[in-house]
Amino acid sequence: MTNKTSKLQSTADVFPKWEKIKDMTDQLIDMMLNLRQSGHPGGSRSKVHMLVALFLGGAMRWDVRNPQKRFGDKFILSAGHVVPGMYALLAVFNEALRRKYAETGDERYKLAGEDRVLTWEDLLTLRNKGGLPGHAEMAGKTNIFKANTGPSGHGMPVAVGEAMALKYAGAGDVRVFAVEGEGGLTPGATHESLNSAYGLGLGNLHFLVDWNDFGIDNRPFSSVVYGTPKDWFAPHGWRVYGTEEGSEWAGTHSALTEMISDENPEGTPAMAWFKTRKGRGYGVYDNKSHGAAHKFNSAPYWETKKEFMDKYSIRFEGYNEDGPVDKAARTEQARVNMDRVFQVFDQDAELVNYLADRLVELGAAVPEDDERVWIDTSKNPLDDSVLTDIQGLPDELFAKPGEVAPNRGGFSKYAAWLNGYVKQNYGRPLFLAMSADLADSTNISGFGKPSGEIEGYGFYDRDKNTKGVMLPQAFTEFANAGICT
Amino acid sequence: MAQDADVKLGKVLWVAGHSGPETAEDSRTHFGIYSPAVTQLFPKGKVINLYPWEHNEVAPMITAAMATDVALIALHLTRPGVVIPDRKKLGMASHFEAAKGAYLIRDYKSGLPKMGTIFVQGTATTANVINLLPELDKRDLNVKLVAAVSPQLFAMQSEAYQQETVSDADWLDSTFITNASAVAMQDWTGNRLSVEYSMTADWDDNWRSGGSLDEVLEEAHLSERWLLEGIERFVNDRESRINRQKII
Repeated sequence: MTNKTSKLQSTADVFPKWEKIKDMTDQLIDMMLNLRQSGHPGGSRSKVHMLVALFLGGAMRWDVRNPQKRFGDKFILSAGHVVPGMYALLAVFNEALRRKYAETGDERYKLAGEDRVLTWEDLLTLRNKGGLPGHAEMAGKTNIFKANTGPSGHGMPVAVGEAMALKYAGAGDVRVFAVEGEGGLTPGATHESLNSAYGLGLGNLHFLVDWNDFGIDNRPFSSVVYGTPKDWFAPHGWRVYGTEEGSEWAGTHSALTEMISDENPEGTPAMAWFKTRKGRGYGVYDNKSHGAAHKFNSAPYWETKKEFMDKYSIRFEGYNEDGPVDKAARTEQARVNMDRVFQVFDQDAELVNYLADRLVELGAAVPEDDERVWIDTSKNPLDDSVLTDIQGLPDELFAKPGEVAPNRGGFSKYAAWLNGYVKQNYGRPLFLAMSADLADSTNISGFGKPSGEIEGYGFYDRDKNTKGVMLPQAFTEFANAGICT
Repeated sequence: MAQDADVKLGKVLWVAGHSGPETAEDSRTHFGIYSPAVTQLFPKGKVINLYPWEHNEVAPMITAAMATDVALIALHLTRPGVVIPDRKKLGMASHFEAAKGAYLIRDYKSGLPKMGTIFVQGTATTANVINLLPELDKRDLNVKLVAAVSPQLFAMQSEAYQQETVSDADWLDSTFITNASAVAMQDWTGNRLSVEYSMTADWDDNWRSGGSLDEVLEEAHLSERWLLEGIERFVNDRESRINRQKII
């Protein structure tokens, strides 16, 4: 396994293609929200440049055909409310592969079954029961997401936990990318996540921040939060990259590339920020673009279609009309217009070829194995009958009648025995443990202690004891909960 | 990993450490009698709560929980040491029985009328109840005492074991004792009068303060004398309790 990412073609060649992909994505975001009259347009649109550059630029090793790949990089949409942007982008990606497979029959372009692949037709189901969820969920057609997210900042501790699990197992080359807005950095869990990631030495963790300075209320975050992304991350030992031109390809791609390419011998986590305008291209901006779509087929809505129609000579059904009232007729109109978005593909076979080939290339770059992974997952200790044999528990776990002992003491003994037994028989621990600077006080430190003659794994240290099972957490109670998931 | 996610991975052991008023000396900012109930706020089958009251119950209970397919195990632990009981001498079930979620601390005595069932949970509370056993005998207070250590593990036992430990009639003639609040005993609330006769740390609908363990238990009305008084009240009111339930 190497640390190299797939190389990008010349930027002069690909940026125009990314622009078209962005244009199509924008239109699909608008159309699904127009139909559903619910969802978050502003943040979905402002992140499109970042997401296109991330998923196609080579920073991220992933396979759209199988986002469950063991050594594929992991993606967490911590700002889970902007999920329409991801749905639209995945729809564009998958349509390119679908078309290419239909054209060539080449298995490399073949997508998984219907229940696992998000197609543009699924966009018609946004926020309907059984359809695409209103916030990001890790299931079915959206297993690209590695956490259920939505509440601001709550994906960040989970990202720390996933990066830690990968690093601990020896798969530290697998990166975790988490996307958040600056508003999502304000919860306390973010502060705890930053410290935790530094303390655990998570060089494989990357936060991407859409810095558009607005949330829901009518004031910029900069009026209530001091500083810049550098002020927020660098004091926590993070490497910081970014661009003032987060809605331009050169700056966006460059920030991501630098973040990934820089030497990182200390194994410190990294972030990249992207200055953007919330609501880019949607006709309303900042907080006003946060959580409300334009009224169905209203003049402001059609205004957002005009530039695209002119640019690509595509006419949308019902343009500048109030449109149907009936739900089925509205859905049909949306289906027709989404289909017309893909006339961009009809007009540009080279774009389809590029996108399909790029996705296949990126997928092929995901390693199949990593010899440095030391945890043997072919055997599951939880299937070991010894661990469920209550009567067979060793005598030394119990105190004698008349002794004075706390129940937490019994827990410590059990924890030491459990991880000791699994170490002896499976060469690995069963539990990693953490508490808020209370490892000994709560006796949870038992998981790292010796069991008889079996040496304990002890406390984790990012340099000196990378197999330690007691994570050296500070007062990071909220983050711990997310990390454990 | 996430609600209804396709990927199911291992177990999370959630330790509620220093739980309950046993952390008296650190005062009210360091323990809760209401907050531990948050671990119950999951759909049925998604969490197993474990309340081992003493040292020797911990390993069997976690082992039993690990044998299930439930991913989330919430383990409630308390700070102070208590005397490990001589269960054989006291006629109590073995600590291994804690793995079944509920077991008999004391069954009804034959030859005396049955006076009601009391579920007991928590370290200091259970220890105090055990200290009261001789006094209960002396006063002919013929109550069945059930250690209520995990509602989820108990629900997984055979119907025969569940009925043998707590019959349908027992549920209707029951109350409970806990070091936490009454709301945290919802799984052991057997009838509409259970709470009225319960002995809980929130007996006065308030939080507890702080001090020595004895002082806080006294304030919580969970010291031996308060528990004895509460058990007597529960027993003495039996006829009216039953009649009121019939009316209800």
